[in-house]
Amino acid sequence: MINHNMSTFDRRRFLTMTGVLTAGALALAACGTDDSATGGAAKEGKKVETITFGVVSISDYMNPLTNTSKRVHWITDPVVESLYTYDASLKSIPLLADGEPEISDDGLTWTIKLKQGVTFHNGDPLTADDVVASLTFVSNPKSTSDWTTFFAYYVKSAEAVDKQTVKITLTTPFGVLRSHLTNLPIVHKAFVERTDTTMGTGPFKVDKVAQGRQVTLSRNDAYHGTKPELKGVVFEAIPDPATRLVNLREGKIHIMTDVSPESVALLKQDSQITVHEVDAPSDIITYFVANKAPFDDVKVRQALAYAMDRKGVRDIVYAGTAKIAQGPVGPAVEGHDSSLQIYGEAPDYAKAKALLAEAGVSSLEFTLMVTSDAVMKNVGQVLAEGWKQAGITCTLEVLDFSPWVKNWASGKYQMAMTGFESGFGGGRTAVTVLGPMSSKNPLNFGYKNDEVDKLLGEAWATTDDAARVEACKKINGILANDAIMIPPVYPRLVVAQRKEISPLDEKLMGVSRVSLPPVHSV
Amino acid sequence: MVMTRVLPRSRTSRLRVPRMSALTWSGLVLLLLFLLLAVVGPLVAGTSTARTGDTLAAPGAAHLFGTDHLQRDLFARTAEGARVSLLVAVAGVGFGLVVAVPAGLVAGYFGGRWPDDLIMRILEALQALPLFVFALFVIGVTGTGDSQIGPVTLTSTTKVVLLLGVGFIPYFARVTRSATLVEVQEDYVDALRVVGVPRWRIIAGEILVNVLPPVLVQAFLWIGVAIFAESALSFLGLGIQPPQPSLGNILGDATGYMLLGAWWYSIIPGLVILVATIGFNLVGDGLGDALDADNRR
Amino acid sequence: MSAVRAEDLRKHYRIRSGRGGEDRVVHAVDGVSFEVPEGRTLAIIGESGCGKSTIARMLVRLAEPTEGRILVHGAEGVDRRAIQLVSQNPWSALNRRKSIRHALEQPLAVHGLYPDKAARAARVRELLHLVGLTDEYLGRRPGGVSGGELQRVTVARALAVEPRVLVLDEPTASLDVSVKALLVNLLLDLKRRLGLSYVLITHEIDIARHLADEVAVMYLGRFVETGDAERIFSAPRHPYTRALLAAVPGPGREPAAPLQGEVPSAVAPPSGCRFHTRCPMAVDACARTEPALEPDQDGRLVACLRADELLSPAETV
Repeated sequence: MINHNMSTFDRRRFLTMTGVLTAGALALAACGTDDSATGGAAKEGKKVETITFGVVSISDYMNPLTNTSKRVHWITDPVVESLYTYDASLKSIPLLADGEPEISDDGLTWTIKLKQGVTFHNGDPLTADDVVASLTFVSNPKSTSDWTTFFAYYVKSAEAVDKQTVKITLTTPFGVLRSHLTNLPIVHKAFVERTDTTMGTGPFKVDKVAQGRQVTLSRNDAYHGTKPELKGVVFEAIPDPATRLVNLREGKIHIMTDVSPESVALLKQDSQITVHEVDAPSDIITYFVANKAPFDDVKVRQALAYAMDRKGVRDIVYAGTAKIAQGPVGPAVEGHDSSLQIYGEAPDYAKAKALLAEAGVSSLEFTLMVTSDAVMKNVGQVLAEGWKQAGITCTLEVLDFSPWVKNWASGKYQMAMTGFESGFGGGRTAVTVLGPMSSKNPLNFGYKNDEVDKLLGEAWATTDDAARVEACKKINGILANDAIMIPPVYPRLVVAQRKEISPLDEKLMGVSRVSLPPVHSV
Repeated sequence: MVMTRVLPRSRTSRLRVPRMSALTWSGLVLLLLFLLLAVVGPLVAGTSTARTGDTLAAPGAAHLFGTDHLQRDLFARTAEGARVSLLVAVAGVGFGLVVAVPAGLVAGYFGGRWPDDLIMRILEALQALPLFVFALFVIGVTGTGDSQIGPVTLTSTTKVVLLLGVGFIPYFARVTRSATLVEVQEDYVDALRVVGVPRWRIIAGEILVNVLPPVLVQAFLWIGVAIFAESALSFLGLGIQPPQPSLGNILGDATGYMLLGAWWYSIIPGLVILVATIGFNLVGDGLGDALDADNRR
Repeated sequence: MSAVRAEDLRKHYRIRSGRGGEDRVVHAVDGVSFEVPEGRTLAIIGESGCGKSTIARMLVRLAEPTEGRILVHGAEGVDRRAIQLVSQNPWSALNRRKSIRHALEQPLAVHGLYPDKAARAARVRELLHLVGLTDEYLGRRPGGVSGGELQRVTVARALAVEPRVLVLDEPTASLDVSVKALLVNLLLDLKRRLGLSYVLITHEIDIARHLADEVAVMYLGRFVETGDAERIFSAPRHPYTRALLAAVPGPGREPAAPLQGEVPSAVAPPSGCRFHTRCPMAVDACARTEPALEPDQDGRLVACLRADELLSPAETV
């Protein structure tokens, strides 16, 4: 006789363990801030001296020169400074540099003088050697840094003429360098390759780093500019959006980024909270592999673009907080063309079908590769459903960020999408979004348009801002027409803060910055 | 008319339906409700991906279970998710059986000798590994998308089925082995050897059919566990991937919207998981009791 | 050539000693030899535990002899078609979940006999008729069949491969009195018709009397007396044989007092004559010397030191 009661016991243990582990995992995910004793809880009348900033995740590598991602830069922005910076109207003004750069007549040599009396947090003075070290690191084509997109192959060399003067030699005229130098952080030469912490000249310095979880900054009392009122800032990684929301409402954190679109309405109702919704270089970057079927035919891509349900994405995923997109350049980026109107809000199935017929494709089937964050998953699902109505079969492949990047970098996809804040690297320029469309770019798999290549060359070479904007506008139009970069919408940057601290500068959000130094208690 | 001295172990081979306890009845009701949702639901409910124009609508006349954050009808989603969860659970259990039953048969047939020892050692090693932790590890390493193992592509759903199956193998194998150990005492096992029937044929053709009932009862019970385990994995984002719904991943999406007042979005899939797990457990226990009663007769 | 020939069979089982002692050896069969001429029946009788079932298992190759060899029709290897088994419990000997048709078809299928479907079905019916059962039993399962009839089915199954020898291990022990006779008659009939040879293992003396041509009396792994069945049954010589037969009730005869004591352990048999601890005729020499099977004046073999002295009562007349 079989004793199935023994197996009952086994089964109950199994179920219990599964349940416990799930609950445990859920609790762990939710208990983001529970062990943080730092950060001020907002109390009536109490002056806030240290604020807590809740972000989705913090990079394990605390080096602003390795990438241009918000996972590093929101944290390092108060710590490091660039040669130039943005003023209240987003104009570029000198910060660590002393005055405007001296550009040679052939445009190939830039000479920059440094401001006197600036020191790093460890007391070392800022010298030309530090600038050279940072520039060399990001100009090396072999380096894995994101910044190479901006500097490699353009910057031939950087040298220290004397302790306060830097000479940059270029391979070709490179007017957009001025913008790049407004974004590139200058890191102490001994810290250029370090990933555990960083050393800058900014109003805050790095106090403690709990890798990937929490970073504590404290005020730099020897700061060369206006000293901040806050004593310190704590950055907390809180992956679960619901937890972040609750923490903000309870006052456990003062600032929250990556506000999920559906909670915007809820937050706006809270009298203790201000919600900033700003047009920013916050993009849904969209790529195609254009040297293989089905997307090697421009008509197929255009069909997809006409059949894309932009309205659905705007209304359902972003709860109305986004703008319908045409080309890759959004409203906060140079070259945006608000008059461009190729694709409608709602899908045009008739036109899509006609284009497919012209292309000789009877049924279109492809895979869309997206990153696994909630917003992109929703975007993917809404788009797939919309395309289904047009008889187009889209299979979603949802990957974590690292595998997504791996496939993207090696061209192992058909269509790929992810969300990205490009303001840290590109500022207001369209380098991040348009750069990959150069036929020489290794991330470009098969798209070649001579006009685009020519315009890109002109855009980056000229020192005339207006000319650059014009060129980017034209490029945007071509790319939109060729349907090679077709984000569905331009999302807005949404940052929520408590009213106990002064309102954040919305203008600077236009270059992805959440500016902390001016923040004070109210 | 003719009385015989030796009482047969079981005069009939059919499972007689005994009087069922109240608990078994309730389990049956729950199970039928779940099966109705999972089997009939998807046919009746309409598409689970269609947009209805209402974001996070509460349950009402238009939508029986309300709608989700992408305006999809939650009843359709839950029905489809129940169907997927059920299929994955059954497939996982099926895979477990396919591996475990032959192993248990061989171990039981050679009880006490080296094949039994070998198989038991392997089972013990397998059982020492907590299935859930192992599943988290495997999916953590291979990622949630498709995985390439040589020429074979494993979809995320296949991975879940395999992981579930592997986790169940020790339990099914033990039950099979126990039943086989008892069965092997019967004279026909030797008698067929004398007739000349090859060993594998005795095991697969004669012993198996006698050993299956308790094993199948176990399998039934563990379907409930499988549904729960798959839901847990999918809830954490490691199991079935969107847009393919499963009870677990619907629940996983839903938790983010609790704060916004969409209580139905979490409670309904959670309830369905509960109903399924409890239903399978209670009915399975009932079946097991019937089997025991039958054997004792 | 004899149907079955056993030479000095021994079967020893090793019992692992769990508690650090030495392994112990069970001498289940300890030097047994016999020969069954064609068409004849040898009955091996004795109390339970004497080792006769072990001999049966070795004959049908379910167990390997530790020493000695077995020849069936002169051949030493395993030939499943030469020798088959009928065992005690028919409900256990047949798979309760399979039909009788299946039970009879299986031996044919395994050995590739009657490959044609119709021929095979006919043969199955023929086997059923051979043991006196009708076609309607084909679809039935063992559970619904009475003991006597089911035992016939096991006989039919044994005959399916057309063996020359049948080993019958307590074939009637599970059956009721009225049914035993039916089975015995069937067995006699089959033996005659098909030219079979039987090795009958039983503790039921009456059954042995009806079926056996030769008999071997077994005690604690050894034969103590062998020879012509009629002679031994009417005039047993060995004290153990006498005790065994005296215990059987017969017409006009009350069962005698049972033997004193229990069967000693087969692990450590008594010294000298194994039976001496329970033998009413034992003398001192019996504890020292182990008697061998010696031929007697009328052709039987007896293993007793005092065989010549003790004539059976029937013989003294």
